[in-house]
Amino acid sequence: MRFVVVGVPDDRRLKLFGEAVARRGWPAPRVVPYRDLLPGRPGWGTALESADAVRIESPGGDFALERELIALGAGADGDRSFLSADEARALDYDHGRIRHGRQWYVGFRSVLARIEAELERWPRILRTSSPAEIAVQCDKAACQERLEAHGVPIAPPLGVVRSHEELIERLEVWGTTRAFLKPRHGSSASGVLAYRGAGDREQVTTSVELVRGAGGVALYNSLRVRTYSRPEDVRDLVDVLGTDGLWVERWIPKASVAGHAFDVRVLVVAGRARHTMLRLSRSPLTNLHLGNRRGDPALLHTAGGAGALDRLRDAAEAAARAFPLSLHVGVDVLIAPGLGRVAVLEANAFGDLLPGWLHDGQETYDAQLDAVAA
Amino acid sequence: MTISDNLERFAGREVVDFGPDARLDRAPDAAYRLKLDWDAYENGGTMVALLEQLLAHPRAAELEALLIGAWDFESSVEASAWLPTLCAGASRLPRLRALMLGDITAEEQEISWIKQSNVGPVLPAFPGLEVLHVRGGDGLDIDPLRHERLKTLVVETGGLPRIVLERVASAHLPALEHLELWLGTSDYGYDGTMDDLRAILAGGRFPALRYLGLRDLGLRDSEVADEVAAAIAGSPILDQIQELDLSLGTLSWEGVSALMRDPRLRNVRKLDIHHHYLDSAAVARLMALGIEIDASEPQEADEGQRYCAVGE
Repeated sequence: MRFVVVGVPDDRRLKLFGEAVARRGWPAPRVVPYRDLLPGRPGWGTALESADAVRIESPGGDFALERELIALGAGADGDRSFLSADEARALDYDHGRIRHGRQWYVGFRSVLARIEAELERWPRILRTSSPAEIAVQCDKAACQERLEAHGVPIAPPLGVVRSHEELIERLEVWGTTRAFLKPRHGSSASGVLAYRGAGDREQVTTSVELVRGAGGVALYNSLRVRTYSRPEDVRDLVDVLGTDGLWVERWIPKASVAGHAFDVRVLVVAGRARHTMLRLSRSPLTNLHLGNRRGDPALLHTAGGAGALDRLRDAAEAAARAFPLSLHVGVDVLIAPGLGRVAVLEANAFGDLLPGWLHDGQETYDAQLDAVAA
Repeated sequence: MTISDNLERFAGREVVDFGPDARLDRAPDAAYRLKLDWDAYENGGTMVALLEQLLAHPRAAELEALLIGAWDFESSVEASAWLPTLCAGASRLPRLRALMLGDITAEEQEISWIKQSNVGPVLPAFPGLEVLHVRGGDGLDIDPLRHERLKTLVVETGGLPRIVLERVASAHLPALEHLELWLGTSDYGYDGTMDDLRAILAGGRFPALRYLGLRDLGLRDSEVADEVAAAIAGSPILDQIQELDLSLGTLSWEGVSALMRDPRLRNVRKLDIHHHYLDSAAVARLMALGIEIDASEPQEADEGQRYCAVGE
């Protein structure tokens, strides 16, 4: 089985996938860089001629690519906040800066459409990822709407807001004081705000670092989770991130085990829930790079919730059924205190990077290759 | 300090959730917790209804330890919504010795968002009470703070209102052995002064006091922790304290060195400063006192490293 992988060369994900392919004795995957698939670039070359399967990886971790995708998004959507292509190409690297998420997405989506169009010309090639489904999964509004339409339990959605003022109105309409605000096209907890507001008091817990400078407010991804409670900070966070659209959902409290609140990452491969990892946190954000711990699902049994694990996995499989063309979907599921209600928080297109976390003795990639070979 | 879990033990007992599946068959050996879970809350359940269910239970009279957990997820219901039900039902709980008001995790309701009230009425309602534990400072008062038998008073807050400090300073608690106050920070409602604290440290009011905890002493760069430590040095109360707890705070060498200048610190059996900002040399000097010391969880000022979001 010869794989072509679209991705970012030298990315750790490609290396780990390549190792799994080698373990199986298959020829080394051929990498087609995203950059080659941009308009005016060389394209696929001869890669598809000898390919049996195509896998699409995350475009993250490559600033030159990020800049090109933002440039590609220029002029689309009629969004007045967008940069011109020239302005986008002139962006300097600014480590951890959160900016232009919507325009990046529009550019990425158009590359995905180009990939889709090309693959349609090669019906014999197996696809383990669907460009169209990736485009939905990288848009939290579209993703949650699709999940809801498929009857998947989700956190009650409050829609997209673009400003602090709009947020306050929305919360009032829904009669709630706590919500998660997520950049519509963000990942890795980037820009996620855990918001509370009641009366004249507001509070945001987030990994975002807010920097005030001569040029205005700049936002950065930080590894330290912090709480903002000054009204001007809260307003600026929501207003600046709102420019690119903030997906808002009710904050359902998470259950806790072993001294930590948690949600659960379930990797669904070929329709079956496999690798299951509790993400144990002392803050409202559970992403592992924020210093949170991995937890074995067996912890749920000791917490007295034997049936809880089944319900979590069922919800994850239901979420994956909304994406029938994707071989793998990394589903994040929450369970409320008392191990009662479950709700799907995210369906991640690139949620299979769980190195060393084995299921039936397998890495996530081996489980996928098994499914391909079957 | 984030509270991520419910209490597993309370007043020396294992904690069990009270509900349709868990009857009171383990009273008096277990502590029972009443809490609304999210589903019950969404379906209109209330703490009053849960309390009425407990009070009507034939074995309620055997219960010795009771915890009130989450009663609200939106900071919209004050404790006063259900406290009268508890107090009015006191005759149904004649053996109650230990009461926790607010065993609530940060996900359910962060400590500074818990809507407390004047919890004082539980004291006359339960004359046999020995342990009172309260979490949440917003709206909190304890009036009257008078009780002949209360041995343990714990008040956990993100910011302790000054009125509570004043109540403690003028309290009548002759049996009190354990006094633990989480002062917190002004960001979350602490508005006490050093004078308020000195009134407590003056001693005399609590002849039986052996444990004093002044915990959760502010954010980094707050000076409260060091000021508190310095105020304890030289204060009358140090004559009687066997266990001194200044943990969960921002204690630095400034406060610890001031405390060490009081020779009576050597008479304290245990000093707990875990979660502090001392370097290892300072900890070593403290250890040389020869008393039991918990100096775990040293903290470092942390600027917070930035990261690139990568797609997942």
